[in-house]
Formats: sequence, C-alpha cells, structure tokens
Amino acid sequence: MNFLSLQQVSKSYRQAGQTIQVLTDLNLDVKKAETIAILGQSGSGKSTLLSLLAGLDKPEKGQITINQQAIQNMDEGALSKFRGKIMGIVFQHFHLMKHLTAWENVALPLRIGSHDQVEERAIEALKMVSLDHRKGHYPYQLSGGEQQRVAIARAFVTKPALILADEPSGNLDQETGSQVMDMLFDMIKEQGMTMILVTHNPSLAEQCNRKLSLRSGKLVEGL
Amino acid sequence: MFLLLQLAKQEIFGHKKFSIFFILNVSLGLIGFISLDGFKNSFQSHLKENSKELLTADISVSARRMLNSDEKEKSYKLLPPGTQTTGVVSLYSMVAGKDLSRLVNIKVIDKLFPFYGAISLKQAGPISSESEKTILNKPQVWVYQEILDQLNVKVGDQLKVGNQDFEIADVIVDDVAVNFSGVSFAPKIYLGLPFIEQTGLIQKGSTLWNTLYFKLPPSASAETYADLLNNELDAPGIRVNSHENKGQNTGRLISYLMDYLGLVALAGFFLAALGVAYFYFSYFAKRLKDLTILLTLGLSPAQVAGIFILQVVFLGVCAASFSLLIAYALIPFFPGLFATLFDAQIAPSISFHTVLVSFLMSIIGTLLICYPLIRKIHTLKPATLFQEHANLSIPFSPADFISFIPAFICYWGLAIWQANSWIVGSSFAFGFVGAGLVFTLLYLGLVKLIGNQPSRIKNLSTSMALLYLTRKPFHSLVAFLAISLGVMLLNIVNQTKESLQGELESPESIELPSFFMFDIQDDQVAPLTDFLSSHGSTLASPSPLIRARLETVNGKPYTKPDLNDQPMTREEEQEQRMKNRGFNLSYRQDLSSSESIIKGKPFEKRASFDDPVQISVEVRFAERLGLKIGDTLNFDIQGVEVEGTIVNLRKVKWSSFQPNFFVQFQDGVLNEAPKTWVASVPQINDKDLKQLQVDLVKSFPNISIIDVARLVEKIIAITERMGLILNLMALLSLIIGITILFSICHYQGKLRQWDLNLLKILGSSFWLLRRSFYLEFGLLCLIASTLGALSAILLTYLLARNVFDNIFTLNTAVPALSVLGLTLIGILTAHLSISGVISKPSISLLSKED
Repeated sequence: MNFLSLQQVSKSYRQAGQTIQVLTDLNLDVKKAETIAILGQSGSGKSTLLSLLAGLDKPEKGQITINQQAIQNMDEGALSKFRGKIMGIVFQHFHLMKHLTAWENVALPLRIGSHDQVEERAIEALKMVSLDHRKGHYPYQLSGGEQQRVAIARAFVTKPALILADEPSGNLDQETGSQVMDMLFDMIKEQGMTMILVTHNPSLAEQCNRKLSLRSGKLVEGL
Repeated sequence: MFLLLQLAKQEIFGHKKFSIFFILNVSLGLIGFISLDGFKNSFQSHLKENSKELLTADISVSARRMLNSDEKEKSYKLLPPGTQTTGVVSLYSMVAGKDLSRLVNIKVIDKLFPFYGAISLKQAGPISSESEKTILNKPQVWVYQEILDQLNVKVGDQLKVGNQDFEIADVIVDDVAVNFSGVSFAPKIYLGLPFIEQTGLIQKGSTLWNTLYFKLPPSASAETYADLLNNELDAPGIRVNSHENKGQNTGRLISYLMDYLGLVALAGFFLAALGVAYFYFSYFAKRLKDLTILLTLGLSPAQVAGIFILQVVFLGVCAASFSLLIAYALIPFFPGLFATLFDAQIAPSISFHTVLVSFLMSIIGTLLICYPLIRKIHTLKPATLFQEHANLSIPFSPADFISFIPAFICYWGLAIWQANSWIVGSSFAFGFVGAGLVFTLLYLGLVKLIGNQPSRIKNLSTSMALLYLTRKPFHSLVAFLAISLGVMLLNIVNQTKESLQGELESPESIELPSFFMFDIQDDQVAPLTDFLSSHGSTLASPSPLIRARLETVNGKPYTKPDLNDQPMTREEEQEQRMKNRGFNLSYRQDLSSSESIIKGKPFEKRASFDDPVQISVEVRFAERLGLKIGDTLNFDIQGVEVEGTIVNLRKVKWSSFQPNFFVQFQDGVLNEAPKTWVASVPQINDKDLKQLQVDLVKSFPNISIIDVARLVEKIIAITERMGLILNLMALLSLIIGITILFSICHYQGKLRQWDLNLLKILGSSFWLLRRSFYLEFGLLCLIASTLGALSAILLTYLLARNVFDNIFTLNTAVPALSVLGLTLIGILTAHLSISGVISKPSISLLSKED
C-alpha cells in the first residue's frame, strides 16, 4: 500500500507569453517510512513538485494521493487542515516568524492543530534538536544553523507522517549543513516518518532510500 | 550635483508608492491649515479693504454717554478744515408692536450718516451720505425683517419706541458696518435724530453710546488725526478710532474662533508628521543596503544624505502644491460655515502669503522630521556588506530623539503664531505633544504588563493578535497615537461644547431668571417692585449701577493706551481693551448667590464716614488688570473722587444671568451717587412671560429687558455653529489618523505576507488569519479610542474644575460613538488590508529557483 502516490501529474506555467511545461505525466509511488531524494538541475521543477505535494499548488492533470486522500480536489480550508495534520515542511530559508521566540515558533503547529500541552511539547521538540537552552531567543539572536534546527523542530513537533524538505542545508555552510542533515535523518528514522527531500547535493541524496532525478518533467530513478 | 539629482530622481520615481503616500500624508496634514490660512487672510483683507465702510467714516469719537459740547468743540478744532461731521446715538431699548415687544438696538442717525457705504432698504434702495432720509423728517423707523416677524407687524404699522409711536417705513436689506462680532442679541432699528428727544429714552445714566463720525479731506491722514484726538480728549470713557484700527478690532469672535481652528488644524499636521516619520523610517530601513553600496562605490555620507534631502524637498514641494489645489477647492465653502457668525460677503482666495506658508511648512516640516534619520547615514558601516547574514539597521537610541527637538520648537512656534498667544499656543503645543508622550508611555507600559502572556493564550487568533501588538510595538504605537490623539481632539471639542451649553441652559444650583433688566431709574425701583408684585412676580437682586473712571492704581495714573500700540498677542489685546473701559461700579454689603470670595475677607460694616473704603474685585478681572488684595484704586465718579482698597477677590458665576459686577464697593459709600439699577425677574411660565413683558414696556418704556431664554438660545446657536466648525477641523485630524492606521495596516499586511503564508502552510485556516488581523487592529483602535475619549473627559473635567468655574456636563454620545466607530473602522481597515494578501498563494515560500 502506497502512502503517497502521484499519477499522470502535469503542471505548466505561463511566462513571458510562453507556456513552460514543468511536469509531464509524472508518476511517483512512495511507501510509508520511505525517504526519497529528488534531484535535478535548476529549473527542472523540483520545487514545483514539492508545492504540489504540499497542496500549495494544483496540478492541471493527474491525481495526488497522500495517506489515501486525493488532495488535488480539496478546498483551501481542508488542505490547510490536512497539511497541519499530516505534513511537516522544512524550508531552505528557515522561515521562522521574527517576532516569536524559538519555542513560540515551534509551538505554532501545535496551537494551529489545537493540541494539548503546547509549551511542554514545543520545548521537548527543541530538546530533540539540542536547542532547549535557547527557547526564549528570537530568530535574529540565533545562527543560521540554529534557525534551521528550530525549523526542523517545528516540522517534527506534531509528529507528522510526511516531511517535505526543500534544500534544508542550502542556506548553511557545509559543516553546519551536514550536522543539520544528520540530525534530520536521525529523527526521520527514529520516528518512522516518510520524507521527500529536494536537494542539489548528491551526497545527501545518498542517505535516502531512493534517489530520483527530475528530467524533462518526469522522474527517473538514479542520480 | 547632477549625479545626486539623478539619484534623488530615482529614489522618488523608483519608489512610487512611498512617494505617493508621503505626498498624500503631508498634504492631508496641510489641507486644514492652508484652507484656514487662506480664509483668515481673505477675512483680514476684507476688513482692511472695507475699514472705512466698517467705521462708516475716517475717524470716530465715542463715549458711553452723551458727548458734551466742550468735547465736540475740541474735536472740531483739532481736525483740519473741510472735515465733515455727523453724530449717532446708539442705545438698547424695548419696542412694542400691537401686542408683542422686544429689546432692540436703536441707531439714531443724522443727515450725513453714513459717510462711507450705504444702508440698503427694500423699497428705497441704498441710502448713503447724500441720500434724502425720510426718518429725519417724520416719526418713522427702518427695521430688520426679524422685527417684523417677531412682533407680528408689517411696513406701515406703528411701533412704540419709548413714549413715541413710529411708523415702519422700510425694511433693511443690507446694513453698513455689518456686525462681525456675531453676537447681535438685539436687531437694529434706525430712527432720526430729531425724534429721539420725544421717545424719552435718553435719561441720566441711560446705557447709550454717542459717536461723532468724521470724514476728513482727502489729503488728511486718519491715523495722525486719530492720535491727536486720542491724546487731547482725555475725558472719562472717550474712545477714538481711526478706520484702520477699527478694522483690526472688528471680528473678534471670528478671530478667536480662527485661533482655535488653527490649533486644531495644527493637531492634524502633527498626526500627519507622525505618519510621515513612521513611513520614512520604514522606507529608510529598506534602503539601507543600497545606501551602504553607494558608500562603497565612492559617494561620501554627506553626498548620500544630499540625495535624500533632495528627495524630501521635492516631495515636500509636491505635497504643498497638492494641498494648495485641494484647499483652493475647499475654501469657497468656508464663508458658508461661518455664515451665522457674520454677514459680510467674503470671496475667499489663496493669497501669496498662504502659498508661501504652505511651501515653508511642507518643506521645512518634512525636512525636520526626516533629517534625524538621514543624518544616521554617517553611522553606516560599508564593511557590514562583507559579513554573512549582514544585518543592516539604524541604531536609534532614546538619545537620538533629541534630534527631533528642532521639529518640536518649530511646532511650538507655529502654535503660538496660530493662537496669537504665548500662553494658549504653548499650552497647546506642550499639552498635545505631552499627551502623545503620556499615551506612548501608557501603551508601552501596557505592552510590558502583557509581557509573554499572549503566547500562552489558548485562542490562537487572540494570541497572534496580541503577539504582533506587543512584539512589534513601534508599528502599533504609531497607529495607536494617531487614533488616540485624533479621538481625544474630537472629544475635547464636543465635551467643551456640551459643558458650555449645559451650563448656559441650567447653571449648577442656580435657576435662570426670565428677564434681566437695565436702565431702571432710581425713582422707578419702588413702582417697578410694586408693579411686579401686582403681577405675581418679584424684582430680584436689584443692584445699583454707577458709572466711573479709574484714575489711579496705588497712586499711579491709569493711562489709556496709545492708538499706535498694536497688541501682539490676544492677552495684550484683552489688556488694552480692559484699559479702555470705563467702570460700572456697584455696592452691596453681602454676596449674591452667584458669587463667592476666593481670597481675602468679606466687607466689614462701615462704622463711620472716615473708615477706609473697602472694594471687592472679580478675580479674573483683577488678573487681567494686575490688581491684588491691598491695592488702592481711585475712581472719578462723575466729578467726585473716591478711593478704596481691595479687600477681597470674588468668583462670579456669570452664567447665572444675575446682576453682577467686576468692581463692588461696600455699602454706604456710593449710595448717594447718581445711578441706575439693574435687576432680574425670576422664572415664570412662558405665557405669563410674554404678557408681563408687554405690560412692562407699556408702564416703563425706558427700561430695557433682556429675555434670558432667548439670549441663551442665541448663544447656544452660536456655540453650536462654532462647535460644528471646530468639529469639522477635528474630524480632519481624525481622518488623518485613520489614513495612518489604514496605511500601517496595509503595510503590515504586506510585511507579513511571509508569516501569513507560513501559517497557511502550517495548517491555519483563512478565518483564523483574518480573525487575528481583525482582533489586532480592532483591539488597537478600541484601546486607543477609549484612551483618547477618556483623556478628553478627564482633561475637560480638570479644566472645568480648575479654570472654568466647575462647568462640566458629561457628553456620553460622542465618546461612545467614537470608540465604537473607530473599533469598527479598525476591523474594516484590517479586512481591506488583509484580503489581497491572504488570498495570495503560499507557494512563494518555497525556493524560487524552480
């Protein structure tokens, strides 16, 4: 039984009067607890694919099923709820809210999902990324690596089934980047989560169960 | 320089939204001010250009009594050959129709009146100096339509003036010397000098003004001869006016109103400046990286600052031009607004003076607001660009607020200029800016008090709203100040109006009389008392009135002001006017119910003729003349010198409409002096009131009666109109506040695009995000408007307690409406600002390369 499945998904954009076909009849099946790396050159459509998976954009054609639910027909409200319940997203640029402290940022998904013991769970998540001692700090008081660890804690705090990671180490130096990614993989493995990782970095892709490349709008196995 | 101009041009046109907002905000702040300045100048020019028509002559000599032949002869001799003369007597008296009567202002004129201008009559047309005047040959009067309406008479009917019947010959359509004071409580009627004797109205001590008008030969200077007359005619109570200084003294009420309007307009300018400072700060913060790059490319900090100074100057010029255009469209409506306060036909226009003022205010004002930020360019460190995650910011410490002091000093100067008063202008500037500081401290205190609580609030919308309010207090503070100060201003105007009207309608613990009567002759007091008793009423508080002239204060002569001494401030103007006055003295041993001693001791019983004479002075009158307890005043009472010492200062509740006086002697000093009496008639019902008035006029034709209810009605109508005008100006300030709120809300919406996208991605519903925004701005407006309204109530209450004799009536409608209205506006603003932002797709959060 597939946890995530894309069938015949196509997506194009209009740019400067021209139609650019980004994804063409794309198919993908992912099993639960599987980690998938998606590689590809700039402009190949990696982020478009991720946005379709996150329900932030809709395909022109095809079907996207996550956890047995077809998401392409959901309205915005239902999608938001679904996302909050099933997914955790890690962005390249961290995207922490500047006016919230580390623990408040981590607590956000819990509060949106009306969970209990918000503060305790947020601090627990920060402990997982070894940042519980910085819980009262604002993003501008943290380094890039620390900000990304807070973002990872935020993505994990609701214990979602699916993690979508968009170049998580793309904005970090190599050493910090690999520390953060090691931590991410450990947590994924520990909690048995499914992860779709979009990256340029082949060595990161090597740590995933499967490596797929986006070429001419289609996914092909291997680097 | 050319490069700087080019870069400045790029700043202006490359950031069109900012430029437009800057211009719009400054323009809004200037519009009220400029429109008012334009109207004020037009009004003053009108007075200056029509000064001869206003006085109806080149020079006038007047007294609050009949001028004697010596004084007239002296005047004729001092003036050059060829001078023409005419005399006018003006007095208040009752006139009666068939079965109704009322108080009127009788103008008794002679052949040559008016030397300048004309009296326009409905049938006979304009009556000028040369015109034949039928009222000089027959017992006829010209009246205003108002009298025909109120007395239910028509042209051709008889009108009883004193002891004489007059035929109504014509109706006055347009009068010479229009009344700019606005407070014409008795309509005017004209009758001829040959018939005044027969009316029997001019008696010893009657309240009247006798004026000699002079038309000089064309070559003679009115000012020179007015000075000459002023120096030579030193008899009691004589006042000399040239047409120039008459123009300056006319329209006092309008001038005072415009002083306060100017201050309210300045409040709007302050709020606009606040908005400009906020947006310039936000804009500047965004430009820091580019500025730093310019520094690395070889421009000096001074050159970079020059670019921004050029930009601000250009935007200031645009703002002034735009506001002038709007003011040009608004100014024609001003005469309509002031219509009930004066009758003159003024065609308002924007003068060069107004244009100059608007450009200076706009350019200097914006430079003073923006320069404290521009000068910070010197602190930028280009090396920051080499740092990873470089965080360019403007370090703005509390000490940097000192750099706004020049802006405050200019604002203070503007307030003094607008108010024509050091005291009022300074009180306003410090009060308004002080209120802003207090509100700031209160807001920051509230933020501190709330502290970290919002993140623990269960409801996420509320929590988010409070987190934005408390964690980004700078943004919310500006909107908070704009709203709270705007609401405070609007509420102060309405609270003051309400208190004033409340006091006029029913002064605290005092019942208003039905009539106030004056010109009661000494020998009429007893028959009048009997008459009123027989009509079921009483003669209340009969008080003697004795005319006098203050000769010396503590032995020093009390001089009359030089005509050339132009008062610089309203306080000087008041002092000069006070000095011009003859005195109405009275005497009573005990205080009336409407007075109380606030300093000193009550009068002692006068044991012997040699006892020192004791005097009581009204406290504000004493303040204006600089009098204090222990001062010795020497009066000339119709040729007899009387000296006394001030033993107490009294507070008088003038709104009681009871007979009261500025200066009172103890009983037993002035009892034998020639006098008239003033008195009141207590409340009686409306039907009996009309009949009593008719009977009174028939039996005592020389006694003038003021219908207090009608007078109060008239004053309330005037305060209502003044309140409306002030309200409109205050509303403009509030609109500026709302514009700032909207702009900040809109700007915040854009700034939070990322946050909103993130929250959507994390699973927030649209409604949660909307509700959070509604709560944030609704709550901000609710707190700000409540604080503004409560501060206005507190301020007017404190002012009433400490300055205005406890005049305070709480107006609950305006505070409630402003709080409710502003809260709704806050929510609506949030709705409009967030709608566009929230519907944008969240996809932009993912890296854009693909």
